[in-house]
Amino acid sequence: MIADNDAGGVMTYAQTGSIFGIGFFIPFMVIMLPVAYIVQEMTVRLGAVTHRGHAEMIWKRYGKFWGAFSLIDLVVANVLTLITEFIGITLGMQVFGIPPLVSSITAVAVIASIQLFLRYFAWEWISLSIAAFNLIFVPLVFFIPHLHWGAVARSFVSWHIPGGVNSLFIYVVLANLGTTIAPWMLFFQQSSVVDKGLTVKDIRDGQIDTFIGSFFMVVVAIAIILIAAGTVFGFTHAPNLDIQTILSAISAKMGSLAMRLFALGLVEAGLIAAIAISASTSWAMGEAFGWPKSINIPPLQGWKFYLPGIISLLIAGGIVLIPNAPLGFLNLTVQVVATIFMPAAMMFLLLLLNDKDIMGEHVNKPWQNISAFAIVGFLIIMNGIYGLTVIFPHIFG
Amino acid sequence: MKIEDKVSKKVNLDEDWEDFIKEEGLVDYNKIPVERAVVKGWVQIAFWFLRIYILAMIILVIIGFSRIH
Repeated sequence: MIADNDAGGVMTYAQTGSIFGIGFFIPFMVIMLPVAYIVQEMTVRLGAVTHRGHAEMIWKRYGKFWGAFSLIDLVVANVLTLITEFIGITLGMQVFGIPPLVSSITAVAVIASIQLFLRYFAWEWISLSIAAFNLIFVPLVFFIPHLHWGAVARSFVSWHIPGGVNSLFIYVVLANLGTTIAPWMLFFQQSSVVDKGLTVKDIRDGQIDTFIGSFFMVVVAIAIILIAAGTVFGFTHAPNLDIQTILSAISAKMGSLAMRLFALGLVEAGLIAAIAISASTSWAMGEAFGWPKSINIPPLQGWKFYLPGIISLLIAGGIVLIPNAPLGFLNLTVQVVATIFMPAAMMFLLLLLNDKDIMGEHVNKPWQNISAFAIVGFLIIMNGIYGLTVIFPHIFG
Repeated sequence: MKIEDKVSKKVNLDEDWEDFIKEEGLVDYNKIPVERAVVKGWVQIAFWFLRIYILAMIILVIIGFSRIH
């Protein structure tokens, strides 16, 4: 769940705070906690009951067309998302004077080595250790100059939106929603539950684990929004500020150490997400094509399993190094692919969780269906609106 | 972390899983093949909605990308 705060997410939260300050998005992020939990808990239950990954379930239960659709979309979206992770890693490491070439190659080598040479439990522990650095944003909150905690508390009552509801606001809502529920998260969590060997006896522990992860995800997200709100909000051209400018503002108002710690958090966010996303690509390919699929498999025995994830890392790590690569356009494409794919991924998840033939007594309870369908409905409406704003940018002013 | 163990030793995960499931006294769902779902009723409606939704989104995307200069 911590990998949910990936590099793209950190940049999204920072831009959210810089554009909208302390207001609507603070309570909005709190609502993201149950949203993330409800969605991810379903994948835990599905994986624990069926001992099969998401890609395999879609392929076998709903046929080759939907299986191939889900797989192709996932792999394409994963590669594009990995590019944003490598953007975060290279940008963050540049703060420490490390050139992008070195940081990109090192990141690819580290991530590939972790996957190839460690068994699942060691891989998981290393990943959790890296993920712990995500919490680095939280203590930084207490060094924000002139932070009015009263204003933070009032935001839960007022839900204030500076500038009102317009196309920028809708875009930022969707960006935050999109970074909370991403397609790769569904596939990753279910596959990792299977690879870890969780069974129906572990569902309760899995639910607690998911809740803890969701909780910290939201705490960190709010911390990043507050940091940006306290240092950048009110700047002219705030909507157009990039992460480098935000880092400079943090340095100017909170000091160089705070900026470096923020940059370190950005690197960590990119790294942990790249670990999870590359693993999800490998698992999904293995599930779809019936290959042996586990991080416990030795590299030579499971080369088919490891290869897709490593190739995706190489592609992403290489693209960020291309001079004048249209990274902004690529980031937009990530959003667009996620827009198309997420409702479909959620729909399959709900179909499977309501399938008594495969879930038995562990099917969704009515409250889970109501809340999940509400999330899907909101997602589809907002994604539809987002699609319209991409095509017609001034439709809402 | 037993790095040499993972690199050099061949593993049979299916056998390990079967042994584990037997010990836990659980049903081995891997032995029950997943059959193709019968798509009818609300499931069929959901699939048709999905097809329409995806088609609409693809059309919007094509229009949008064609406007990017």
